[in-house]
Amino acid sequence: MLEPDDHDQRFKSLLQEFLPEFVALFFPTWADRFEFSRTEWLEQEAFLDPPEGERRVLDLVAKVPTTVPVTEESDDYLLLIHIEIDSSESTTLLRKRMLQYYAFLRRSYGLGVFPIALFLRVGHGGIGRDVYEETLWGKSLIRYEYFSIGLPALDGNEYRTGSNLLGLALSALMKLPPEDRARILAEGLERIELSGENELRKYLLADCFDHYFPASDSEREEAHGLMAERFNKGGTIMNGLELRELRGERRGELRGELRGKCQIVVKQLTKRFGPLPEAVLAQLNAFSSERLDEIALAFTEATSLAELGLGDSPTSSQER
Amino acid sequence: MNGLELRELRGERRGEVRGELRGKYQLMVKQLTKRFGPLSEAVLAELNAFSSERIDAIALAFTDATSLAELGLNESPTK
Repeated sequence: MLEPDDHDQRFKSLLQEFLPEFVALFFPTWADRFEFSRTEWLEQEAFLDPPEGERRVLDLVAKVPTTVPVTEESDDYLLLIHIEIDSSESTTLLRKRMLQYYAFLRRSYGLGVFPIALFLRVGHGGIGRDVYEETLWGKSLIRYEYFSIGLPALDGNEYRTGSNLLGLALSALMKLPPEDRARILAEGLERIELSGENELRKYLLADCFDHYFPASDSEREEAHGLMAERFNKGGTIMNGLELRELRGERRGELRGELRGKCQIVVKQLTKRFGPLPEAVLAQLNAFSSERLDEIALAFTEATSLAELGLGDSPTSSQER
Repeated sequence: MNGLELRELRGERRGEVRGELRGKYQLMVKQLTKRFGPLSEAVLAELNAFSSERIDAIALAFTDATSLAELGLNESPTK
């Protein structure tokens, strides 16, 4: 169920849209320290071992103004929120990378960093802190701590019934009672559908909740049947089939929108700079909608692909 | 593949076609607005009615265009 590409894009889209809710959900005492309306998303590639070493794309990096200084000693009112999403069975692999990413962001921006690892398959004590440490003969040389959230350790009932709809969506990956799954799924989807959120936000929430919810095919079918009994849209009852079609349609629209933008950018860049290398095509295909917009608006003034941040490395070393 | 999945797939394909056109439209509106200033309702309506292929053609011509008229876009609402 948790293929890397699949969960990566799903969670990136979800958290980009619901960053304030994410912070409010897991770091409630800090939530009002941010001015989320002025969030700037950074498409961030890190060279972990420069100049020719491994190159990775950080999952989510947001530059967010703060309402209080970032440290007691500084006058900085700007912080980078870095979220890495991990679907592996272990927390070990990510630890060293978290330190490398932290060092990279500090070096690149000189801003404070709020580093968060979000584990989808490992409980790891729920909400807490994880540590990367290097030692020499038992003596600690480097000890780096970052925030970690292990969804499977959290109480899904508490989050799914809370007022934060992101909590409801993420509760599908938390601890849920084994019984009554069809009803819980139906209630959750219904709550999202009837919320006052716009269509895109409803889609992202429902897609996450429905996709990760631990139900069998028959429980899922029963859930859609339950919704059909209760769900009323525009005076007509939508049945489970119609709901699934609508959900597919919303997902397709998002994917199509990205593809349409990418096609235009590829045509325009090819006309201006000649046939694009495979590496550049791979980069463009992996970009977010916002990043494609940036390139589309900048390319007429650029004199090379490199000026647009494109190319210059083999695609094999890239990761989203 | 069961009936639910088939319906979802059908919706997904329909959504992709619609989304692709919308993505192209959105990008062209941003590019044209940056170069030529705010677009009139008439131009927005024209663009919105274009096929995917027509928007592709405008995107290619855009790189050298110096006016909306060169792209076959008419600002006159009475066109």
